[in-house]
Amino acid sequence: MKRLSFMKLTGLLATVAVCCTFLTGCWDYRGLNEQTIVAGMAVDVDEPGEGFFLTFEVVDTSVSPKEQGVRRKLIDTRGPTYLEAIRSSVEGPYPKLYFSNTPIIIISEMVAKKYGIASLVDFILRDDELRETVRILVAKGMKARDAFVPESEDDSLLSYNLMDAVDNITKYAGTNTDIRAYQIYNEINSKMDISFAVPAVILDKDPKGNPIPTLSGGAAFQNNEFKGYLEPELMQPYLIIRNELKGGILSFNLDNNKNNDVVLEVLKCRTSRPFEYKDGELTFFVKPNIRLEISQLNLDMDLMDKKQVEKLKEDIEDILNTRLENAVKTVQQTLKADIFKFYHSVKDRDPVLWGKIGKQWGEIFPNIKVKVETKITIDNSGNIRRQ
Amino acid sequence: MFIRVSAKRKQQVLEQKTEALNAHLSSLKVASSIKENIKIMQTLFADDDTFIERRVTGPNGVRYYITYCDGLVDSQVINEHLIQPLMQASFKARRAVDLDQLLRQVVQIGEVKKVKEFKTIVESITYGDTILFVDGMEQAAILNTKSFTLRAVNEPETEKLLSGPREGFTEAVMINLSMLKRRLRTNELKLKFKTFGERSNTTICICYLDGVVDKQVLGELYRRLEGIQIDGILDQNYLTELIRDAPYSFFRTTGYTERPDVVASKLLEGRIAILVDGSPVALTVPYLFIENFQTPEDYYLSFFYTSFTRMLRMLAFFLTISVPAIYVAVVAFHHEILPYQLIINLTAERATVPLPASLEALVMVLVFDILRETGLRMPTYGGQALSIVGALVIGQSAVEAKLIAADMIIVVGLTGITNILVPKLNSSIEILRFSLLLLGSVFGLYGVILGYSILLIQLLNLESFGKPSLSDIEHFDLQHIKDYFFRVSWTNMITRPAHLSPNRVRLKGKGSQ
Repeated sequence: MKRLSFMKLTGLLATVAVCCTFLTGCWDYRGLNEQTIVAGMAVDVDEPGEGFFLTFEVVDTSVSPKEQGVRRKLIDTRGPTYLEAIRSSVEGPYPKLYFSNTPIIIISEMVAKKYGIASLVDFILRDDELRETVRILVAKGMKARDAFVPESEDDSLLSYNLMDAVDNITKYAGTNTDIRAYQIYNEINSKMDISFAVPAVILDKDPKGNPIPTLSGGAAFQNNEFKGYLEPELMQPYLIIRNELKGGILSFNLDNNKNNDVVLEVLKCRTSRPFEYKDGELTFFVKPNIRLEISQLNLDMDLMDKKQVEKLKEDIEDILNTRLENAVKTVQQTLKADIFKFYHSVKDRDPVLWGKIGKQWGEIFPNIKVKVETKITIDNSGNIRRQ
Repeated sequence: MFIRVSAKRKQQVLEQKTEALNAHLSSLKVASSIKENIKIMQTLFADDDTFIERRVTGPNGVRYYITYCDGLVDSQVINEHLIQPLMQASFKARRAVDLDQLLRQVVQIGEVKKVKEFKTIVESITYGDTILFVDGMEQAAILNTKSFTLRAVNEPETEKLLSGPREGFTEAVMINLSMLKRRLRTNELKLKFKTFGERSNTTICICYLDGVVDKQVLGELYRRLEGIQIDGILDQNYLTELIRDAPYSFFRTTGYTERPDVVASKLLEGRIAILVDGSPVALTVPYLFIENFQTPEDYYLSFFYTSFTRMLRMLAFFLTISVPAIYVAVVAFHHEILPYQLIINLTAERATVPLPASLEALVMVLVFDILRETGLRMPTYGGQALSIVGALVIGQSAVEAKLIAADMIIVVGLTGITNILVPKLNSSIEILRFSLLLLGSVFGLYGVILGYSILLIQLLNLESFGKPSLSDIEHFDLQHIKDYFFRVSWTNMITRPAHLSPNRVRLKGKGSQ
């Protein structure tokens, strides 16, 4: 290799210096001790009825976590807008708030009704510290601040507990949705009449009777508008129909009288949704294709018998069909918002039709017919027996 | 008063004479008159009390003049095999005494040499040889009567092995060469002597294998050695710094070792070794960057194990230069990288200490260096223990007194421990670590990446005697990297390292398995 000349070396160094500017993130010197780590933020409407009342769950670093565990404290601020409310906190006797490790933002029902969710999402995406992956929850039947008030048993930060809850419920229970700020932004920004649900949080009681914030069902939005709550049992159908179920469990009671529970674990779920437009009537055929694994079964059954297995599958499919159809009906009647994203299928598959009926989707949705045709596959249906 | 002045004047005259003699030393020849030779020798070695003269007259009245330096010679040899035969030897005619005849028939010493120049005589007599002048001869004889105490052959302290040869070089070049010759018993092993240093007259030996060495490198080495004019060479490092490719680069371009087995292996790969008399360290060229991570053990133990440890050493090099810099960059600039459990702990820790992270890192790295240097310079083995105790005590108390954050102790500890794994890069590590730390403190990760880039450019640009120090990435070949990140089995070590030797194949048959 030839030795570089001075000119070439200088040029090379300049190139590297310039490239690095674009390849490394933003940098301003700020010591770790010059900031207050915000774990979660609760958004309420300020008492007089105008502006925001923000509550931050922050890490109290005045005590060493080595000796006393992680301590938390609450900081309250108010202001006419999000940023003003946050900035007004700089007057407080603590370092500047730091949002890069904030996974949870809880908004109250009042805020959802009054201001919607769009302005908050917009603020999150524009702010350089708040992450786009922040989870937004709605406080059901309480102020958002109340979710942070209970003392947790092991002094852990409630926001991080809620974050873990959201992550785990989507992965292992399949009974709630994990939607992030950027995903909400994508939905709203699609310039369509869209609807979606975010998880709702309530104050439940733990086994000892202490209040504890818990996820329960969802809160439905149509565009920026809060439409109402989804009951917890509606969340699984919501995920299946939207083709968003990642895992979790399905449980059925085959005969209501007998103790005949079947519990199955979802391995994979794919839902296709072809539709038919005839005489001004829209019919959707929701076809979930679910691969399941048996977790719990009544021992009366003989899984070696093909007929019995077929019967089990048919029973489960019937129950699921009814469940999903009922869920759609409930939503059609109460929320009247297409949280199942049926509009998406129409727009994708038949743009011409969408051009005709898209504008009246709000009126069409409550009347569309939905037929569910579930197909399930059961894996690992073996038995062991000791001879 | 007068006597003192006269003594002073005598001294001055003597000094002037000596200076004149030294100036003319290279042109000064042995005279035929023994009296004149005696006078010259006495002037040359005036005020040197180890200088011993002996005048002997043979049975025929032939006069001999014998000189040597006390402490460097074996006097028994001189007495029994030189003086005694000289006194007994009888020649027919006084004028017919011939030096050749004398050396052939009388002197009973193995290695003899005839010289005319006083320059050579001075170099020999100061190295333990005895000089024999014969009256009427314009030549003198140099007789090898060297005998001086040397350190025994020991295992080198700095290059200890778990398994493998335990011999190490000593300070005597001839003993070192004997160790080398025993390992490479071929006439292809060439050993060329040269003398350097106007006042030290140090012998150096250039060793190479004739059929393997790259003649261009050899020529380049001779060219660089030719220009050297220095008063003394006391260690190989004098030469190293005079002949290296990039005098101001912080990476070395010449290798060093105290082990004859290592020198032998380097010669087999086509390199050239230089042994310096008086130094137990051999110098090898060309030197590739990868040699910093190779140890002799890599070849003496299972290649699975040694490949793993070699990769550990590379990782250690990376860690020891960059851990403080990356830590400071993350803590001061890029908090977003940290997961929340870590940031909470770090924040709580940092909230209690007075110094900002960058300054704290700088201070702690310096303190660690001081402790390490103290450990090295302590006169006894207790030094090591003391420095560890010092580090622990200072670290522990500093954390308890909330002067230093606990995580900084971990960072500095990791830096220090990984440093020990790559001793050959010691000098560059210090500079790199501080530069990266400064860059990281001022510019964050941007600075660290910038530092890495400059480092890479510097490495790619580095040459050792015309050979690229880093791998030749232009011509990639699996055989090139067989001894880089891992050491492959000897069955696959078919060629010598790329570019080092025109004679590439070293493994010509694998034998049956």
